[in-house]
Amino acid sequence: MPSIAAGAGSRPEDSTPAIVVKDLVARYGDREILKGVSMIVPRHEIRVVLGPSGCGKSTLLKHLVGLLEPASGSIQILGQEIVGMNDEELAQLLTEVGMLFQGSALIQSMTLLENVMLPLREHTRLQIADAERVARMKLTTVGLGKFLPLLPAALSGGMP
Amino acid sequence: MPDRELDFRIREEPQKLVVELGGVLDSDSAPNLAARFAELPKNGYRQVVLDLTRISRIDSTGVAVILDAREGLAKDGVTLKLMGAIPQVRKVFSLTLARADELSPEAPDRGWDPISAAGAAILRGWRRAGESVHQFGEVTYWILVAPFRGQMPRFAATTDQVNRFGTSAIPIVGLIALLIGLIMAMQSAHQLRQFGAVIFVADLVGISVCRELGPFVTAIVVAGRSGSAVAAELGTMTVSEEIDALRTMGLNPMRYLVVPRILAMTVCTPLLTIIANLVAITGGLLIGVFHLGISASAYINQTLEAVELSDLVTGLIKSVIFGTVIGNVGVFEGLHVRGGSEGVGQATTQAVVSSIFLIIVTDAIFTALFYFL
Repeated sequence: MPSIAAGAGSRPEDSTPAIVVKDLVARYGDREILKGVSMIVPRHEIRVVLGPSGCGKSTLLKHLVGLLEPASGSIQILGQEIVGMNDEELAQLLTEVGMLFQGSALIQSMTLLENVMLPLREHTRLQIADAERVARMKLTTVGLGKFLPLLPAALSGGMP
Repeated sequence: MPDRELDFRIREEPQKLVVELGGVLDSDSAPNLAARFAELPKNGYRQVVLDLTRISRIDSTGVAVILDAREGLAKDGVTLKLMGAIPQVRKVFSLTLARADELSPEAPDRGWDPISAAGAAILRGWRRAGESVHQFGEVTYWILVAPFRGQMPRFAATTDQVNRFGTSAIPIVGLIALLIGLIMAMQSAHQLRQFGAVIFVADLVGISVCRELGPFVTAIVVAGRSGSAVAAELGTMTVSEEIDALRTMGLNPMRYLVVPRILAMTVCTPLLTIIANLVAITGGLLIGVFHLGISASAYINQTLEAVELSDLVTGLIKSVIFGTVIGNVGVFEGLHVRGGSEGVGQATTQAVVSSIFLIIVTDAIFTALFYFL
């Protein structure tokens, strides 16, 4: 199951919850997966969504980042309603949100370094050299400094 | 082990049959229970009571056998009543039955209904058509509108794709075009020689290659080589959630992945077609010079006189459309993959089949347009 982190880079003094979900209903065809889910995740707190296989955990998370449109209900991320938000606004909001997918979801045709550089190159005005320096620094911090030129497939299971 | 044996006792009471079970009901003992149920006497009673008081442990196989028995008895108008389960047994039942209740009932087998099948196929086709039009609209936006809003296509990525789909395809396109030219020249020479008009081999090869065979054969090669690659690549990215990962990073997969591939395909196909035309005409030239005794200059002059600019342009217009079609089909199939690696395989096959079909349809439409206009 993927995990999600919201609020990175947000102002600590802001008391708006990171995530507010109200009466979320999700359907796949005629099958109702989420039946009126409501929850609040305050900033700087960790919440765990637990449940048996197929109960809708991944579906919930995919709704939280706008990958799926709810049948009804409201989802606010960092105080902004994402249901009905246009693609540009959502893309901007998602620069504040991180989501780690079950299969790690690194871009397989890019090296580890290029994967980490990708959002920096697309969402900041950093020069390539600077983006590379930042990415190297972050990967070295987590002990992956020796594996920068490797493709994700060449990494062992726990690394990515 | 004695505790794993199933104790099965039957007691007849007025209007009902009481079956007492004891021991462990799991995947080892459940088949025996199924056989015992099948042997139950049928003396006109309306109810079977299954007493589970002495069942010390049960698993999902045991529950399944009991559910099967319940369904079997129901067909004879007999109800099955469960009673006396210890907490562990109740828990397994509640878990398993909770899931069982969620299962949608199986559709009754009505056999093959041609009207329903045709209706389902039409609805499926309609939905796919709508989705493909939506995708085409998005791609058109990112190529034609977005640049005026400061969102340029990713030229570096497009160049990479041009190299993949174009440069590296030159050898195979060239080889096939050469063979097409040789075949056309030999086939036409065989007929034209009877009229002493072998010089017209140049006309036939030149016109047919530029108007039809060059664009068509190139498109088939591009569809088989690159359209399938796009479908497989994007399909794999879809099932491994890479596309979702891009979205959650705030990157639009259309701009990031799709537009470079479709742009590259649209640019490469006519360029490859030009190469295919030249090589195929060279193939005809080889037959003309070495087999038919026509001088190279005479053959070239004849070709230049026969082939008009409009022949070349109509062929290239078609090849641009072919490239767009192949790119869009490959992307569409790739992004709509469902079901893991098997789905990727199906999408790849579907991309090639659909591309070739649409190439032929498009070719027929444009040939008719150029013919009548």
